[in-house]
Amino acid sequence: MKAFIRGAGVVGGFGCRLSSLEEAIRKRPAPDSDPAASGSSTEASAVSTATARTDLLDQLIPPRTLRRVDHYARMAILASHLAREDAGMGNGLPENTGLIVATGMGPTANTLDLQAADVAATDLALSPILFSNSVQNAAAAYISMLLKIRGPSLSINQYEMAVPLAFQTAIDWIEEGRTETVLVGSIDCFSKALHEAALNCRDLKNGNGGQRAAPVGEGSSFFILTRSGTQDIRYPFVRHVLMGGTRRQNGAPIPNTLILHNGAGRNTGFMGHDPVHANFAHLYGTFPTSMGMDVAAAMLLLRTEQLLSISVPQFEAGPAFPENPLICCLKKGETGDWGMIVIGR
Amino acid sequence: MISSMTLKDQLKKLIVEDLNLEHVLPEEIGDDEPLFGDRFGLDSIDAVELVFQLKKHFGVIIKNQGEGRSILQNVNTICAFIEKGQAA
Repeated sequence: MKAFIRGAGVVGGFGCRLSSLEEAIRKRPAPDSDPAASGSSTEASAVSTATARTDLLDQLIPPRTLRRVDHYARMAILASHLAREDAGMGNGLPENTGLIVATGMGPTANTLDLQAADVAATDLALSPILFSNSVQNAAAAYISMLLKIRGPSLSINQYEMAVPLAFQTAIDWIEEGRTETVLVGSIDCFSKALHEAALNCRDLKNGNGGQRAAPVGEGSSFFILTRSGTQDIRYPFVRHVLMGGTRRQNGAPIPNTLILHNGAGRNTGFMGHDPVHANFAHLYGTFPTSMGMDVAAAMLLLRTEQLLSISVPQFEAGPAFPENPLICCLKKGETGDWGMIVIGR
Repeated sequence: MISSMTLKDQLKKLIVEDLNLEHVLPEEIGDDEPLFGDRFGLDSIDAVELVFQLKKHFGVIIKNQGEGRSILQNVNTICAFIEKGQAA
């Protein structure tokens, strides 16, 4: 079953809203552009960062309402509000809308801070505000409350495959008739742990195979999915979500179009295929759920053909652009697992 | 020894920063002004957070809810409790 993308909201190192992402793609389409422009360089480290700002949220929701909300959840709340706004549902989401929030590392920054607490000192050792912001489904709880979501709600925490799993679950919910509309999104926050992981990740180290490293990023992307064919056709569809691994090769069909991936080196070839590929990690950085940003970028590329030719010039020189092009957002894990979200129009 | 005035300023700064009262400046909190209620929007979670922060920053422990209710009324009552605790 395909699912219709009714609206999307993104928050990342490039700014907020799809328009900011589109502008970033237009301005710096090539992955080998100057990475310093995408974020600040982290001193005494081998990685640069692309962090997100959420000031816009204070214009959408009274700051007093958000005073206990940390940066991790603020990014998710802002992206989900922008998705609702983009979908033209500013007055409220449909009844029984479902919510799925995917994360790779969760609010790790808060969790790490709590580790310093003296647990032996019982309840006085923990800040209740810090504790409440350290649990994995904090973002989902805030979004549910603020957007008045009363349908099924789920937080998915899986380091590398959280995004395809979230999209697959959203499509399953729609297909099963559990709900007609799902707000599905992802979020990860820059933290010491992510920085350490980046330092140890060959894809992010500067000078890896002569390739310029993508910055370590953070951000959130949310999409409103509905049963296809029920709404206007402003955006493309989610055609398939496929997942596999070394133990279950379920024969992923590689569309003869374009693969978007996040990371370098290990993602360029896939299952013996060598399709045209592009990488926009220089715009929003690499983080466990940055595949959500790839989905947003794919939406924009399919919406505006001109953007596709600007951002992926090698595509024009390669296969002929099909009438109904597909873009595969591909995530390959360290252990051979892979997930693919195929976007088409 | 921290003077009473400095302690009040410290406490007001702590309340604004640790309870994330972005719409309030420390100097806007009156010494006798009720902390809980409509003006600052503090609630029971803030009370627990304040108990935690008082222990962390001043080493004083509010032992139960009844004690907390009288101590956490305003800046003056909290300062008196801190000074008493630190003198003991």
